[in-house]
Amino acid sequence: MIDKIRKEAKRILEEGIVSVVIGFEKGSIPLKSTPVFIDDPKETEKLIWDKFCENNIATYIRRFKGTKVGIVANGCCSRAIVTLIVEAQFKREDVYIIGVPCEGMYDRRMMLRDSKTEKNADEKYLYTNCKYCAHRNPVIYDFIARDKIQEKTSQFPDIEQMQELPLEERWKHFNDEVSKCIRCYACREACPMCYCEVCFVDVNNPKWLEGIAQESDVAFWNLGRAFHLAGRCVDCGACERACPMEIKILNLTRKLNKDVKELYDFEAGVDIKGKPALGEFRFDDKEEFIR
Amino acid sequence: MKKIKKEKFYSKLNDLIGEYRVYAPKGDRIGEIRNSTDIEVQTLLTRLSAKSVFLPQNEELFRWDKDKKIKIKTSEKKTILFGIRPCDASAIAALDPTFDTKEFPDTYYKSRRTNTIIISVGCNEPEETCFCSSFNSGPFDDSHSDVLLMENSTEFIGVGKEEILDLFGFEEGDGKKEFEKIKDSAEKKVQEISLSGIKEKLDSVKDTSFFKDISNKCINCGACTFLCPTCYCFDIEDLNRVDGGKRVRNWDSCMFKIYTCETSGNNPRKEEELRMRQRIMHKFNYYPLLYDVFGCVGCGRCVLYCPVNFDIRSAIKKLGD
Repeated sequence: MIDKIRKEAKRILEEGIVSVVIGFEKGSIPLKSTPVFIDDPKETEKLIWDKFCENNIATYIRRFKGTKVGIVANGCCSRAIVTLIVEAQFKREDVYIIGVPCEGMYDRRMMLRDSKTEKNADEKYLYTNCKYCAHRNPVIYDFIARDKIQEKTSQFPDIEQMQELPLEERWKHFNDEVSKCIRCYACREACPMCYCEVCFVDVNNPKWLEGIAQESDVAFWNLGRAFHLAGRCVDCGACERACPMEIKILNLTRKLNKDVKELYDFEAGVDIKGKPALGEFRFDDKEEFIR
Repeated sequence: MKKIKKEKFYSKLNDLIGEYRVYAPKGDRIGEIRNSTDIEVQTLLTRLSAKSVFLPQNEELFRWDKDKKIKIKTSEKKTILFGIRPCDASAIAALDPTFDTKEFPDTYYKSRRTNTIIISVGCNEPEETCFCSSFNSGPFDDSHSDVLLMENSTEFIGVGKEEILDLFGFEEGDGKKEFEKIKDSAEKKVQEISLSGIKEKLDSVKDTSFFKDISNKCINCGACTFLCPTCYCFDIEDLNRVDGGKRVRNWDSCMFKIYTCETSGNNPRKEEELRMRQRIMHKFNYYPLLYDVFGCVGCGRCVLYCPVNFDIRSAIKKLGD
């Protein structure tokens, strides 16, 4: 499979179809692959695909406005691309997608804690969102590096479990998690969907929240960001993987994804012609919140 | 060399809690402890460095009430900072020339600094990402600690200020051989990267293409700078309410786009590569130029926790090419 990815990347660079290919290369620390930008066809040998390509590299596409970009994309990366196209951030013809059906990424920090290596890790180390992923195949692509794999239906057992807890416990869990926040905004910067020219936390007139990492502000930040992603989040997990404090951000975004699925039967980034869930009105919307 | 049984050391430390405020590794940070059993001395590097003891992420400078009467928080309690690593101790020393200047000493920083005893613990098992040896330092560098300890299964072997060793009841022992042996083996595990002429090399970089090249995958979050033990940039904010308010100093990061954004909307460091340039130049050029010390101690936190694996070691090496 990796040979096919490299060969296609080389071809599209050589033929001038794209000016750069975004993919992954081997990282400098154990169990980490790192984003790479290749503009020289000779360097496509650097490209790799393994269990540690955990970033969503669709986040970089907007930097290359005006040029055509090639990208090695798995399911969630392709969903991010679709969402960005639907939100008019670039055009379909601006990206050449080398699709990779993906069986999920491994949680490197959990592996390191258990002293596991690439060789002896197993499915237990799959990230939660990978375990319950319903779009393992790229939803759009120009080239596909291997045969498509079987899809599962979307599931949220982790969220259902959380919902069953009493309110106080959930509130405590939420506060324990967000109290770790240092407001470094790695979640925001890692997220392909967080592309606001000025994020609401950076606006100082009106001032939505203060710059200090006290309880109410970190709660507001984490909730505010999650709500801004309602109906837009593609559940790639890039935010949680980027968080240096290991805050369980996906509990918030996956809950919202579950709600959006149940309320509007909508999943972000699946239909390139569809409108965003919160950007459309239909007469058959349930509107149960208006009573 | 002087030695002490670990139980004896911890029991003395417990006795000192109350008279001293004691900070030690606790979970992902250096936190205040109420009992020595809270200490997680096994943690090689706490995720958040020891800088927060001297420069908290959010610090109240003063407050005012509704009659605009100002109250300043001063007087710091005597503090023991225990269990930090030599790199974090070096990092604190690297903050001194910024905050403890002759002309404008930062009273908040300075009072904490002068009231704090630093007892660091050397690293028997350094990480792959450690590169402290590159800065004339190492896993058992005692130069910036009041006392440096070496841990074995039952004892601490200590070097440093006699009065502190005596305070804890260290006794004369034959630890020298063991100390040297563990020190040697630890030093071999630390990667050393060449920094010779780095200041000049950075001076010779005339355009931003080098920084553009190294920063292309950087997503411009502040994780590296917030976890960095020497990054000290801050922002001052007034939190005003009808019944009073306070002025706070918060950590800030040169990697943030709004860091240099001016009121007019103009931003001299709008591009990612310019912010990366600032970070690298500040650590390896401006800082040594001003204070003869690097703004990096080689703790490796930025390498370990970067979401996209930007590796400052590779950037330095690339500069050498």
